[in-house]
Amino acid sequence: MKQHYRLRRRSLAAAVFALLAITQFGGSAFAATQKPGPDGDITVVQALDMISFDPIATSDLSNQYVLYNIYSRLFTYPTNRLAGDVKELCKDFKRVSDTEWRFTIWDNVKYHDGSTLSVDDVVYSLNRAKAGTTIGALFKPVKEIKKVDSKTLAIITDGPYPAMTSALTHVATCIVPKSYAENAEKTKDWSKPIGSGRYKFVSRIIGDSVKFERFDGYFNKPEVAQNKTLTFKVIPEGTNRTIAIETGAADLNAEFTPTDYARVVKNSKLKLWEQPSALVWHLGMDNTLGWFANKKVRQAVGFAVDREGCMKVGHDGRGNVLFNSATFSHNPTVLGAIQNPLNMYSYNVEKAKALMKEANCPGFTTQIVVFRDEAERIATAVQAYLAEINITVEIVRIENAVFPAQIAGHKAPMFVTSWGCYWDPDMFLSRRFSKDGIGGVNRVWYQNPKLDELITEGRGTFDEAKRVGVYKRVQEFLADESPEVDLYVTKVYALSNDQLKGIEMTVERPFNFHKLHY
Amino acid sequence: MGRYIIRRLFALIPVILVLTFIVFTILHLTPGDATTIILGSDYTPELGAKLKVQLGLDRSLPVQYFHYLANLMHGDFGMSYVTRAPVLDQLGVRLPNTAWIVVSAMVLCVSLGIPIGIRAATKPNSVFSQFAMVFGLMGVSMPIFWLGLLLILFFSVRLGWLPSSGLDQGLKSLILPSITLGFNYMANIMRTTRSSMMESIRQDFIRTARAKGVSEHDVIYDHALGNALMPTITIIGMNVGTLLGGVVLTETVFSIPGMGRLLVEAINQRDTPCVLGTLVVMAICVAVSNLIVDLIYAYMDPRIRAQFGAKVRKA
Amino acid sequence: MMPASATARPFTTKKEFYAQFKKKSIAYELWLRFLKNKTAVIGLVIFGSIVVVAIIAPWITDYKNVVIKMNIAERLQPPGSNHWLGTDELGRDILARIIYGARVSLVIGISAIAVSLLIGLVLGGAAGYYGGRIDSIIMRAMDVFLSLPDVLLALAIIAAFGNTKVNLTIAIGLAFSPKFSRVVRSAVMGVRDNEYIEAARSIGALDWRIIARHVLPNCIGPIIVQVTLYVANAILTIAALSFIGLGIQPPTPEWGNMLASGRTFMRDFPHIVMAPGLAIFFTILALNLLGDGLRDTLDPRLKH
Repeated sequence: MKQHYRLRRRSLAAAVFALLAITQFGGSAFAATQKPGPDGDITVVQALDMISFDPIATSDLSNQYVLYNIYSRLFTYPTNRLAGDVKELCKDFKRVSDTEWRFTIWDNVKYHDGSTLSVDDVVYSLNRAKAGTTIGALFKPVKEIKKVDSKTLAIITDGPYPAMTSALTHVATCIVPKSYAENAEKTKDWSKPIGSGRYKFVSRIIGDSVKFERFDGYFNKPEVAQNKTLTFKVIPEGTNRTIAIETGAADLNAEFTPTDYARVVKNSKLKLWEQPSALVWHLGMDNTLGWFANKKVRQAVGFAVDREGCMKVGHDGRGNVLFNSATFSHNPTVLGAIQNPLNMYSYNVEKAKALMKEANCPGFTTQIVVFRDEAERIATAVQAYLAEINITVEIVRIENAVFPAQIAGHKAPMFVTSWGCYWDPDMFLSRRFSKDGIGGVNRVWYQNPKLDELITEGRGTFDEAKRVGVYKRVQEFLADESPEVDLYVTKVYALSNDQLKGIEMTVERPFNFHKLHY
Repeated sequence: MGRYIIRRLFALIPVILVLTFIVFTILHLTPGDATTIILGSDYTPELGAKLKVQLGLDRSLPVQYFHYLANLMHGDFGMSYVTRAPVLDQLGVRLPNTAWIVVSAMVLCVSLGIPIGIRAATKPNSVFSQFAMVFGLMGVSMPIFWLGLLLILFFSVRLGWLPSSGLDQGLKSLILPSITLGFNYMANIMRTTRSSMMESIRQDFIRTARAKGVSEHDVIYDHALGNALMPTITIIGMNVGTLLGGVVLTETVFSIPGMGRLLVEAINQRDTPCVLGTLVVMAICVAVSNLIVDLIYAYMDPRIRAQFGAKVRKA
Repeated sequence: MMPASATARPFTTKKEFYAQFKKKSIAYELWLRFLKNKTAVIGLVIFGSIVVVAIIAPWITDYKNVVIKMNIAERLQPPGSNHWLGTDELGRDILARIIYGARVSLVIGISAIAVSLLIGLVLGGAAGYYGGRIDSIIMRAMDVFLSLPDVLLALAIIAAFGNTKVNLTIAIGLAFSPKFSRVVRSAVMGVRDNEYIEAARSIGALDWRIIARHVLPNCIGPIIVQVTLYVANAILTIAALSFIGLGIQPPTPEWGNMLASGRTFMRDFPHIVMAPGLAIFFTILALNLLGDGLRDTLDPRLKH
């Protein structure tokens, strides 16, 4: 050993160089996504991670739009939900009677592991969905799901059910192989999913990314994916998602935040896609908790909140405000939607204070649960508005995966989130405001036998004019009951570079990612 | 030396034991909503009670802790409440990302901090030295999450040179996170190197060397530096923990899927096994890197080697 | 200024001149020494002004109607004559929020350090004074805590108990207490073998009395230095926790949560992240300058 440790400048430089070389090497090790190009590796960025590959686990949007790529359903969404549902696994269908539907599926449909999809799997998957909570309410009218022959199944309802095909677009109806699902249920391990969709599962880094690869054995040959791999990447921060497109780190930003609107419109290298959405941002209240059990207080909240202000803060003022209490959006129009039923609501603090007084409510302290940046901003606005009527609100930020648990445990006295509407109001009414939706997506815990009756009446006929009449009554009833405060309906945006082709959007989000190509 | 390492490794065991116990106790003191998190919308009191038994949450705290430890010995960190996947799987995926930014931050800091410190010490009245002092002071006062935002604003937004998030563009995507993470650290190393170098230069043996006619370069790099680096190494070691704390912030700023972000996500998800697992792994990382630093220290300083040798004999 | 007037006073005799110094004691001499350190004085001035601003905040601006009240019409305005530092995404005056933010940061920062100082004094004092087995038990335990980064320790505590202001204070206080224990211990060890301690012990004074009356006053120097530096650390930790969403919750203004909520808008409105960032930076800088200056003044041997 030398007396003094020797270190020469040159050797120091060499050490630095070597270490840099190592980091360079390491850098390439996690260069998973390649530059966008004709080779067909597509990266889509979204704000939140998916949750589970179990189709019935959740109806979270970030989960749904990932699952649609690996599973197939009988029906899929139209680009515009005003159009009819699009057949996917269903080759043909017919309504045999008011209460019986028959669906024929494609022949020789293969799963990713090479096995063949059978009608039994379909029946199993649908029954599984019916038993689950996420769409249990949607399948309430369904009495029986049964196999007719090797290519056909029948669904029997207890009355006319006009929303049948829409219900079959729901994520919970994704078809899973029976043997796989039974095993996954037992082990609670859904981490390596098998489906019959356009992509095979490759890998997932929880909280970061999911990678899929084209499934060449997809049953509908002309509809096979037009790119080789599809990666979903989670970037929670809106601006960072935009930058990812600008720098070419990703191809499509599926959840563009309008705060960057002016900037990207000016950039000729980028393309912003927009269309009216059916995403209704709303302020939910747990109708069973404390003062929220009081109708007057709920109405007061409806008057105290300035929807314009919330929209400015949440989505840069881009969208249309709603004075509804039940998710009926009118751009695009849900069947029978009316603007501000009974002309009841406006931004009127005095009225709100009066209602609080009527309810003998001195004010109280409560919480708003949120799990997205936009929602958190809206909540900050709501917090300020509610302070005016003596309701002190604390904002609690959680992760989307635990939202259902918070709801189930009555730990979300208030919450801000969005709901994607369908054309058929039965798709949300029966789940969000009925007894059957409790434990599912009836997050406001609202129950009223009178409303349940109206909902049944609304779905009980194929005559649209009659249904419109019922839904008018429903909306007026709910305006008075005020189980939630609808704020506004946004636009749906997607951001890509100017080279990417094949972008399609539903009224919620970009979808049909299999069409993305250069 | 080998015995020293083994002894130090054994000394880690009580540290990890006590640490897991503390964290475990803290996290289990709050009435667990584990069952509602796992069952989500399926929750009913009956199912909840059943699951509680299944998870062993009905047993007393010491028993639970004992089971946790027993599993930990087998490398089993438990199941995440939220994803239902083994916590270890998640940790395995996240750890390398964190390791990359920590290692590159350290490399950056050491390779810049030490030379700047030396130069500032050898030319104490130069403009360079003044600049280095101001830089050092700013460096230790800089909130790194703000620095990260500023770097994004400048290098990603204004210039468009470097990515603002993720780690999937190789070295390019490591640059901003490692500067962010290492900034305080670098300033610290620089300041320490400078002051200990100045002290070392003032000492007698340097004067002797100079008097003997050894070239100034050799005086600095052969004679003074060896002694002067000891405090620097101490600082490097002491701050590994701080660096790992900074990881949480850096990963949040740059949306990097590493241990830090995992910890924050797990806290927001009330996912106790995941929080616990992340903390345990981080604590082990700190302990191991402290050990490494101590070893380097012992290797470089003959006095410590000798002193330690004596200790072993006594024991 | 006090010392300036003191030196300006004419002395009639040599005797009086020297007597002056004896009376003014060490504190006065230290103060003079401190004043010579320009950067330290700058630090004191900056930090002092921040403290003053934080104290008089209610007279400068209105919490309910300015600091937390949303004003959509004026959102995201750049700095100008109406709003010196501009407004944030909810149209709130950033300057007003920065000022109230100082209150939050200082109160929690200082009380957290008070907590850790208290723990540090008890544990470090006992370890340093008694030495031996007590010392090794306490210090082993502290080593365990030290093996976890303080931010992470604070996170663990918050994860379990939630993030109220009191919990934050306790979490940060606990997280920093091992370091204080170490500082106090080594300071106590430095003085415990002095003759006056021996003397006190020999006349049968109680241990706690010796520690409180004789040991601690004589190692106050390094402790004050550490307190200064760790208040900076605590403020930084609060900001960091708030930045990741686990600290101070909106609408209470805190510099870290201002940065977190502003970052979405920073590309087009950089002012929104400039002010809170600079506020943290200058506070920490001031405390660092002050701490370094105090160290040079109080304990020249520790000079780095």
